[in-house]
Amino acid sequence: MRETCDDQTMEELIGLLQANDERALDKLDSLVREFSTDPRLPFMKASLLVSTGNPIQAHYWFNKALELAPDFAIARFQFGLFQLTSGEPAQALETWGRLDLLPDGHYLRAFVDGLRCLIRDDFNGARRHLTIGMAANDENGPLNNDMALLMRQLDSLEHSSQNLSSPDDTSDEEVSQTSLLLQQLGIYGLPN
Amino acid sequence: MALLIRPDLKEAALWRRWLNSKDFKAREELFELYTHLARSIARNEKRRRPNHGADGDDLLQLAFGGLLEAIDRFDPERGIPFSAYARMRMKGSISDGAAKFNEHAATHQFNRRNERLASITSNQNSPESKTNLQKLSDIVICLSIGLIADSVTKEVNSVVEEDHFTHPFIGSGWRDLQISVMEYMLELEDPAKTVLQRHYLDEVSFTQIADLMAVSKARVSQIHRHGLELIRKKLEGRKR
Repeated sequence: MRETCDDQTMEELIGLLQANDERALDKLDSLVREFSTDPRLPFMKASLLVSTGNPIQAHYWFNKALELAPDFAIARFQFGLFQLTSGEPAQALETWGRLDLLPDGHYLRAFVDGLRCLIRDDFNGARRHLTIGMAANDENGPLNNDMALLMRQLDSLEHSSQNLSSPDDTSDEEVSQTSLLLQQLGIYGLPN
Repeated sequence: MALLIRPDLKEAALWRRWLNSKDFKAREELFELYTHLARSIARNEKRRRPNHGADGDDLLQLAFGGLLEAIDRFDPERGIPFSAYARMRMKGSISDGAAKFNEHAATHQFNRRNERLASITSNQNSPESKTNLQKLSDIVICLSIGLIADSVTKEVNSVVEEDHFTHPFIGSGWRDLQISVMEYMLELEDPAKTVLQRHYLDEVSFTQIADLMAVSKARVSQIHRHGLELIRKKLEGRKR
């Protein structure tokens, strides 16, 4: 059993997933078994499960990824976001706690601060922190797109009181959650 | 904050907490989430089978029983929507239950009022300094509070079912009292708030509340009485 999946295999897997290839899930499951200590694979599986409507299993695999790599920052951020949108803000805050150890000015810290403001319905604070985070983030474009989308939805909500979670609210510019997470994996590679 | 929550993920989180951790609070939230479905099915079944001897309350209790069974047996990972699964369970529960009813059968309403009366009259903590008349007065007041709360639920449900609400003989004093009782009920803290809301607003029996909260029926009865006493004290405070 090897420890980490090589980059080429990972890229092939990402290609299959992004193409919605039916072999992707089998391939992912096989790699999860083969590289059982590579945290990227359970994170990827969690992302896939969220997008295919199996959030219960997704929760397990998010946890698994963070058990393997507690400092896997993007997985920690996305797991917290998943918990928040699942109506578990206390758990989200707990998950994000470790991200406070990231260096000052790190965009994930700013994004978390923005989301913490949103939990308190502090829309202005949320906008301020999300804007700071987007300015600081020059390595993860998809995440910036997602935060920009969130800000636009906030603006829209403030004006129309429409439900942010409604699927009808999504625009063409939205990056699907799976696509977003997979692209981030491509950017980040292995966590420290 | 509420704006960020995705209802599908929230419900999945409740199922996870119930299935993985046996979190009874999550089970209760799931029950609440589908209470409206139980009501709707009970109403439809009442219309569909008008002469089976069971009244609307009986059917609602059967639907609630089916809902609890459905929550306990549902496997969300099988891909069937819970509403479809629960609908079958609730209709089955009503069919099975309704078949057993006849004109002489004790109805749920009778049992529900009986268990309420037992709860109120079994006050072990009543101060010895109180006279029998005072104790009787306390019991009557608590029973009245229960009936007032009941009357609100009946009227609210009649809006949905029959679209008539205002009775010409209902005075503004009575309406004020109803509103106060409901407000005080909603101001209660748990577990009294949960027990009273479930019993009076959702019309759930003590037995089913005990099941939902994973406590004994006697404990529910005790909490119910304590809740009514707190409302009584608030009403007395309001008069001064």
